Amino acid sequence: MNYKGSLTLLILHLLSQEPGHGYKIAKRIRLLSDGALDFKEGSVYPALHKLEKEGLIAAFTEVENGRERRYYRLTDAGKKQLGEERRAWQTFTQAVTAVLGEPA
Amino acid sequence: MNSELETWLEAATRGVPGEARASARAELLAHYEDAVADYTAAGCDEAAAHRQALADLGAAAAVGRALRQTHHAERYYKLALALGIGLPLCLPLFAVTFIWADGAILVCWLLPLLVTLSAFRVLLGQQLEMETGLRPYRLARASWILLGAVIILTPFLLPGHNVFSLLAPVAADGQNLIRLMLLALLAMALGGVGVSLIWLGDTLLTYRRYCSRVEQIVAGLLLGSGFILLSGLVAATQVELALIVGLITILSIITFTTLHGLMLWLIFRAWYRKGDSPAAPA
Repeated sequence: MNYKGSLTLLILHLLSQEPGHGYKIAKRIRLLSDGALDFKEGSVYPALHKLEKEGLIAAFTEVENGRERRYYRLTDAGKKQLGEERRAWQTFTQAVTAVLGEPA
Repeated sequence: MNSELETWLEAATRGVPGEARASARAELLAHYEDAVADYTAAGCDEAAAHRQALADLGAAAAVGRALRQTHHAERYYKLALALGIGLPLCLPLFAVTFIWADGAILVCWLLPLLVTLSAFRVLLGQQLEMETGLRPYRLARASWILLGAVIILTPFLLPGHNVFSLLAPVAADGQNLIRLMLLALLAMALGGVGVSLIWLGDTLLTYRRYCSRVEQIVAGLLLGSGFILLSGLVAATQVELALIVGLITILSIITFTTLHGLMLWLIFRAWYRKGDSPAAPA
């Protein structure tokens, strides 16, 4: 399943639960979707950088297994954006469900 | 590090500016190493783990394109903003050139300079907003290049019928020359301030996706105050030269904003039509 367009929502949602790095986020998406969301993991990084530039997430460095890792956490602006993205997604899915539920 | 990975990382981060490149490269490398470790722990042999980890990352070109788009957008915005501020600062040069030289020099280098800077700024704006190469974008870009060419060539193609030939007789009046010079300077300085405000406001509004709400309001106020200043300049003076300069300035701005508005309309229409464009507004 192509998840194009919903990556921002997925990333913001996962970071609202706990800070994480790109690999962790990609693995969580695969795990939670049971592999249904088909995506290339490299695409997570441009999305993370874009969200950071927009001030929706903030980066910080942590040492993990003796190696510096770039972690991301949600900012206040990101929390607000997450709420808007969730509402937009719900509106979208409800609209599609309503159309699909309409008897032919 | 194996050569395949090195090639992939190089392709994925090529063209990404400075620190962002190092950061992205380190993140992608760490991602790859984590994936290899996980695949190996799950029982894959080492070669298969490396292969699968690289495959999971996807096409390096796609990652690189997205990273460049993300990191260059801000640079383009800053550059376009600098041009938006710097371009009208050239206006006082108009006055200096007009006083110490003649209209021919003005036409020869200053007007083309302004038009070139203006076109450059618009192209930057388009570069910012589009990656899709849709037809309206190309049309908008072509129209700007065409407009620039017309503005540059018109004074040469129509000798004796351009704006500078209208100004020349006024400036040639020996008795009023000094007064006219001072008034020309004053008119151009005030006009320069007005146009500066307009350009700054226009630039901020054009790239409003990168602005906060407060900046957008300030931009709107700047834009409005610039127009008021220019209108006031024309209304307050009865001097022929200032009137001509003011009218020319206002006509130029009306032409510019109309065409710019048309261009933006084409771009926004294309965005919404595209729908799934990564550059589509939220």
